[in-house]
Amino acid sequence: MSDLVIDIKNLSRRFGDKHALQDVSLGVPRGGVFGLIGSNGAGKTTLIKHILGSHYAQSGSVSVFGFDPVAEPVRVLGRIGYMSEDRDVPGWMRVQEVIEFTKAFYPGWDSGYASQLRELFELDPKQKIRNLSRGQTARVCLLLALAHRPELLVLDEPSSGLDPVIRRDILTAIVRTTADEGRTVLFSSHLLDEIERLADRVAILHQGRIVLDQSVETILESYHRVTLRFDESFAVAPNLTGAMHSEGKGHEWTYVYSGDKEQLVESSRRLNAQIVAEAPLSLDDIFICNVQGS
Amino acid sequence: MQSIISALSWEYYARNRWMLLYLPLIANIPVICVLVPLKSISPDAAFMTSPLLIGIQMILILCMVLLACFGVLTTQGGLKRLYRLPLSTVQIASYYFCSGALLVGAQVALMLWLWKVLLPIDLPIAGPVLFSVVCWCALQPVVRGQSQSLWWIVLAVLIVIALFFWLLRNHGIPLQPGGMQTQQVHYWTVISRADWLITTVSLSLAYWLTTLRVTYDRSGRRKTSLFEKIDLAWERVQSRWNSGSRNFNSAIQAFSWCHFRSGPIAIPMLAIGSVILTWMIAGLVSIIQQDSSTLLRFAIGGTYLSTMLQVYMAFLFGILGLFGSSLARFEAPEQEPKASNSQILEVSPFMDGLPINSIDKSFAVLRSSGRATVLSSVAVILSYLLITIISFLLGNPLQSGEGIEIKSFKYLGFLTTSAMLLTYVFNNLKFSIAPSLMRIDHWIWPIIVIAVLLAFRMPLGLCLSAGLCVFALVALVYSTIQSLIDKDLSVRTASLIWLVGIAIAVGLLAVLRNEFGPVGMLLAASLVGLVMLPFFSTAAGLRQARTT
Repeated sequence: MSDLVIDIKNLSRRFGDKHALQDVSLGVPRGGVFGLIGSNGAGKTTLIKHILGSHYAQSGSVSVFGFDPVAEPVRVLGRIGYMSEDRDVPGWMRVQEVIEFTKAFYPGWDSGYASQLRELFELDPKQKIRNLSRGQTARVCLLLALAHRPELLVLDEPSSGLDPVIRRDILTAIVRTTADEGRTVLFSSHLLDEIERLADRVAILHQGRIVLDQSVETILESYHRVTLRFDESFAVAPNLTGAMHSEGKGHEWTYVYSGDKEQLVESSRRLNAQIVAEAPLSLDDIFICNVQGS
Repeated sequence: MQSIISALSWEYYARNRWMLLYLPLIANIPVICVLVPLKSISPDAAFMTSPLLIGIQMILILCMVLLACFGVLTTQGGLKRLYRLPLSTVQIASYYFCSGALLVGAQVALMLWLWKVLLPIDLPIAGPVLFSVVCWCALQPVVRGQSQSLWWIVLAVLIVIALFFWLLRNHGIPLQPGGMQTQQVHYWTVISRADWLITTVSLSLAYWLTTLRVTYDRSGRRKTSLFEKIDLAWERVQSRWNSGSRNFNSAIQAFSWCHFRSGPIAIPMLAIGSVILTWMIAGLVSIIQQDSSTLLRFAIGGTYLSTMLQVYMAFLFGILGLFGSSLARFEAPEQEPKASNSQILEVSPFMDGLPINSIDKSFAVLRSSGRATVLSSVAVILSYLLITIISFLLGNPLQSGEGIEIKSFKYLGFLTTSAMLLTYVFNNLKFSIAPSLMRIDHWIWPIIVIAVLLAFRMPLGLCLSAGLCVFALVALVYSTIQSLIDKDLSVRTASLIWLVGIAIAVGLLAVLRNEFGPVGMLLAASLVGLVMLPFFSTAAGLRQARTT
């Protein structure tokens, strides 16, 4: 059996003239937290919908737990806990009703855990969903996604609408606990500090393409910002091997580079430059570099 | 102001475009489906102006006006999106109030002109157009604002009923016992002073209330009306008694419950409500008049209207389902519907994320639609049963009355059955019927049949009903084969459905062979075919809707 929970190969998707996904290949390993980063319209939700079988693959293939989610929705969805970005739980249901309703679909539903989460999230079982705030609705969705202890937890923008306390303490704890139990979490977010804190592996999606797919540790280790002082003054940044982004003027230029530092040092030496400052990059900076670079 | 009007008009046109063409066409569908086949029953032009036909025309005028109002309201969208613009509340309310009235009036005038072209009826245009404008304006205070309460729908229905009596007084058959039996029909050719007074008072009051409501809505002051207070109190009572605890034995049961509560429940609620209201009014009037036959007359008329209302509501819900949740909530199409209030459950990501296969889902949907149909039909049947019992107990006062006789159970039975079947068809419009309607290959045979019949100079009604019948048959055969290939149904189940369907069709035609002409026979056969269709096509429709 493959160790990949999600195996996407050369997936492409068009909506009219717009390429939502272009030749996307992605493997999400079993266990751990996988973060999906991308700007608005990058294709994150489209990718998630393919994983759930709501979109069929126009070209390429999608396999979840070894099954095609379009052909075998029950086998796949029964093992997934999904929190949608839309928070579209029927508004006319009461909190307890939506819990009981969702329970009917999952044989492995843990009622004790559901009650525990309901109390943790301070949800009134008699309240109608439409009378809840956006944050409270997000908590209901999170509860519904978690209570059957899914093998794969798919969270589409889970932080949206959640207050900082819930986001930082509870969501983090839940995601980490799920991953530590050997289950897999795939979540998309705009909050890169959150992804940096939670994810073990990250994929950056830009204009429908995967521009980066590595473990967070590797990414943070391989990207650096370095400031070089040149003997002569330049109007445009001198070209350095491995540099992804540059800014500055005259003698001093700051580069973001990824990969082999020796190569950069060698190149700078050839241009009679000295390294005057060096600093690691945050995931935020790395994301911007990749998006601008591509 | 000129530029504001231009900007808002451009926004209205740019946002809707083709929808502006589709909606008038949709509003005319009931007319084409009902009146054109009827025209072919009798070559005599006088038939089209008989009291029965005039009665049908009145109902159709009301349906057309309501559809026109609904269409304009839908294309206009919610006003909330304009609240952030530097426009005064009066400007916002006035623009949508007046432009809507103009559009509805123009649309109704155009459609009535089309009726006159298609049918040998010399329909007046001015009166019904005035009626449509008043209808639009009178409904504005009810529909504007963001209230989600069902009470507003009740209020809207009451307004429409009140206005319908105004239409009845001016146009059609005499509003008196036995009116249907007299040959006196009257057209709304003269707009009297009373009509102008009704129009002026309604428009002024409606405008004032609309502006007030939009002002309240814009300032965030809500839940101030009596209706909303009653709604809140009802909600509190419900919360006390309803803990929300439910036990579902299966995913099918849960899904069926959810589907039923998401929309179809409104049809039996309305049918039961209107039957109860009918009996209350009938009782009250008979007490005032101290005449037992009045009770039965009102009860028969009201139950008949409830039956029509059931079909009409199912049709509206069917259209709502087709055009999505944005239409249902009167929101502008480009606006995201409020996520937590999503009504059309099958298109929501939450529902799509549930592990239930399309076969179970289709079973749940059919069960829910069937439940809604049966409940509303039971209300109507019980009402007729009560009429029979009371009539029997009172010594059958209608037998010697002015013409309305309840012995014609055959007619009532046919009417109720047809209403039941139509309700079921409309309940399943979105996933079962519409996918077939969209397939060009399903239309090839009907078009050939219509063309051949037209070439033999057959009446248009016969050609159209034959086309519809062929379409139903083609769709049914195709869906049956497809469902067997997809293994949505076993051969045994499919055969059973076909056998039952054929038996119903043969039974219906055998019982009513004397009453039905060839057009009626074909329409009845088509109806049975369309009722059978959901059993074969729903699973595929749901599958198609889920995965894009």
